[in-house]
Amino acid sequence: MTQPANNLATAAVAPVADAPSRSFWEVAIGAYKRRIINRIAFCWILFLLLLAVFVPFLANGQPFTIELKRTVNGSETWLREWPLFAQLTALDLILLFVSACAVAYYFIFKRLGREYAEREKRFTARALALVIVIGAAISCSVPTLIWRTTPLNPYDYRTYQQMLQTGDARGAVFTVVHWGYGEQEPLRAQRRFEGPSRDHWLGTDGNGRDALSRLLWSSRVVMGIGFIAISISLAIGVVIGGFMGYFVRKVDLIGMRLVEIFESIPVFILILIFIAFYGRNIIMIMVILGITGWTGIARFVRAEFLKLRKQDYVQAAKAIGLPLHRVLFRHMLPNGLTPVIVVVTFGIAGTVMSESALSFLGVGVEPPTPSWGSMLNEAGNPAEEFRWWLAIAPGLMIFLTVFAYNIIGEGLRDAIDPRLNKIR
Amino acid sequence: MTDNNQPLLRVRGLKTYFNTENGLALAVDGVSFSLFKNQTLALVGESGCGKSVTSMSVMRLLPQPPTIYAGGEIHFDDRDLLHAPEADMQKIRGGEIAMIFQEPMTSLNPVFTIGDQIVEAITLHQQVSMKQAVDIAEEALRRVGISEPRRRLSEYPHQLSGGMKQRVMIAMALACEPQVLIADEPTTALDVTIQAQILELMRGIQESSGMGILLITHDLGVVAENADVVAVMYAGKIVEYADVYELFANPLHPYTRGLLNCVPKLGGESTRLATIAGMVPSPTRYPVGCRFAARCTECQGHIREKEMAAHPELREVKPGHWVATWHAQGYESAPQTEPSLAFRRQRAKAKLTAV
Repeated sequence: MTQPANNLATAAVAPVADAPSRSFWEVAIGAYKRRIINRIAFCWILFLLLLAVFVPFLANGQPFTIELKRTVNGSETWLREWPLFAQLTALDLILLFVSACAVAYYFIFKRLGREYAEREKRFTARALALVIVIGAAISCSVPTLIWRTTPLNPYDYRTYQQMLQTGDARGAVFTVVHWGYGEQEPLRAQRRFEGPSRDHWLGTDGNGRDALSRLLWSSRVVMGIGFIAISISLAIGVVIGGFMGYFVRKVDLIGMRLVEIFESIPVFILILIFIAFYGRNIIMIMVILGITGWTGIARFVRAEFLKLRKQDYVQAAKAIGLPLHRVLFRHMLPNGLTPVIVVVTFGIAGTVMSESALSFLGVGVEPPTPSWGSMLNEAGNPAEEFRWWLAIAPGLMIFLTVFAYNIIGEGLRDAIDPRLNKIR
Repeated sequence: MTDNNQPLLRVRGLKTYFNTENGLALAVDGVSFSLFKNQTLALVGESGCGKSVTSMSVMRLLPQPPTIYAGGEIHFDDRDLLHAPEADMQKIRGGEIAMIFQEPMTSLNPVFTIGDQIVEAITLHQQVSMKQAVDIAEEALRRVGISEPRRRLSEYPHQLSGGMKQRVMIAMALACEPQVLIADEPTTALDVTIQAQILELMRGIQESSGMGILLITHDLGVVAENADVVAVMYAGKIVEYADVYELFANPLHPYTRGLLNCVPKLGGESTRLATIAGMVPSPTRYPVGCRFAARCTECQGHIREKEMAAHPELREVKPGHWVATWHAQGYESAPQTEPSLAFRRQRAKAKLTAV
């Protein structure tokens, strides 16, 4: 009597193909990868990210290890020291740990496969990864604040070379680019503005610091400002845009006026005013860029939500009794995010440009933190000579980064919209 | 609920109006019916007569600012659903009263797997662990006749056909074992063979669980096969209410007769298709008198004062047969009772047999 649908019904729905199920994003990324330039752009950004994480091990004035002749209790002994590791900051460690977790997480995820029954394992893996990352961030910050009892090593590469020559040191292993970005080194006015040489592959800047090392260290500033500013914009824009799109009428009216107000704020001038009052502060710049940049995202999210609230699955989600916030953020939002992804990539490109412009004007990051914009500033003004090595390298980096972000944005936009109308 | 003589769902005088730019739209204007256990009540009518709005009003799914629940009661489980707080309604939706929609192609969220969506529905209404929820979901998929249910849980909606998606929607609706299932034109978007399978599936599940089905459709063939009681709606009101055999054998309202006439018959000599002349009046400007009078074949343009005065109410002209028209015999003296039939026809495995 309780036959679950007779044979006729079962036979009619027997599976025909055995293809693995591909989610919305897998299909989109597959379409994205088809063009070679998209892959190149993605590789460039990945390279910059890896650079930002591993730069202390690539361009550092301290050697990995060195044996120094020290006088202990009257007798001379060779002590092996590890200056590079001793002077890693909390930020370096956090970035390393987070990247390691990201890589591990990616591989665990791939191994776990797509089976629905293993959903719990994936959920546990995600939760565990989050706990580990937060725990690592905390546990990395604390010890470095404590163990930094030794004073910062005043030696730079020149001093180490001298010690090696006089025999006070031996067995030194330096990084690829054996200059720091200037934090610990004394200013070497006698070496300013040198062109590229065997010592300094890209020459030196106005303070005698190695240009290539500063170029590599700037990637941190660029990536950091881009992502953090956009994250703030995203958080604000999605919430406001979502509410505007879902609760139309009054909320929409007020929301649009808010958007218009924030859009009319001149961001540059606001930053200059803040700098005039409070001095230069990279965090402040990121926050201001984030707080004034959410309007584009809000507009797109509002448009998507206006379309989505009439979709059948939204009605079905309400019909099974989901509370409002779950309908909004769990069902509607993932469907409405596709134009936002594109806006975000273009937004990061814009933030990179803004930060470079601010640093070029001298009101960006504080010295000695390097930035491509401030390096461009030192390239020369018309009155003096033009120092081409300080103009080409940072300029090229800015150009390539912004170009890469734009390519990614366009590639995603093309991959998401038309292709998915004809799934596979 | 436990007593078979008590209706599961009892709607009395439901009025749902919409505030539009053109005025107040009287989408549902005084609708009453009762749904009993193990019974299928079909709401029939053409587009725009208020069938879907009735079902959405029962679930209180219509957004409140343009919608006004102007009156009536919806009794479910000793509660009046029109005045229940929203938190209670969220528990009832999906848990006690479930709904499946017309368009299966778009009723599932494209970015989540089938398993995600069914498990979400289950965990919302039942206190079960995730593992148990996955097992319940798999069992629900098996019940609706989907093969390899474990594998289907990881698949995305775009990998399923329309019929399978509708089965998944039914599985989602049934996973929490509701007492009432509202099916809003569940098979309109599907082809005829799949339609037959889906309806048979719903019947089978009704046999085993005893739930009541409120079937909304405009297809009289579906009504003949699946319904026990039929309510014909026109312009926001029920104009005829009877059990299915009685309705098909003796349609008393001219509208019902016109609908039965309009069904194209295969195999006869090809003549012109019959229609009901005229158009449905706009919900913002209903005529004062009988709303069907302008199209009524019985009236034929001679609208009497009775029809001009007011829209006729639903009266029980025969035991178990309500109708709202002056043209029915015995209408004037018929009592005005509440339409309610605890009737459950015996469905033979063979074709429809007359009572």
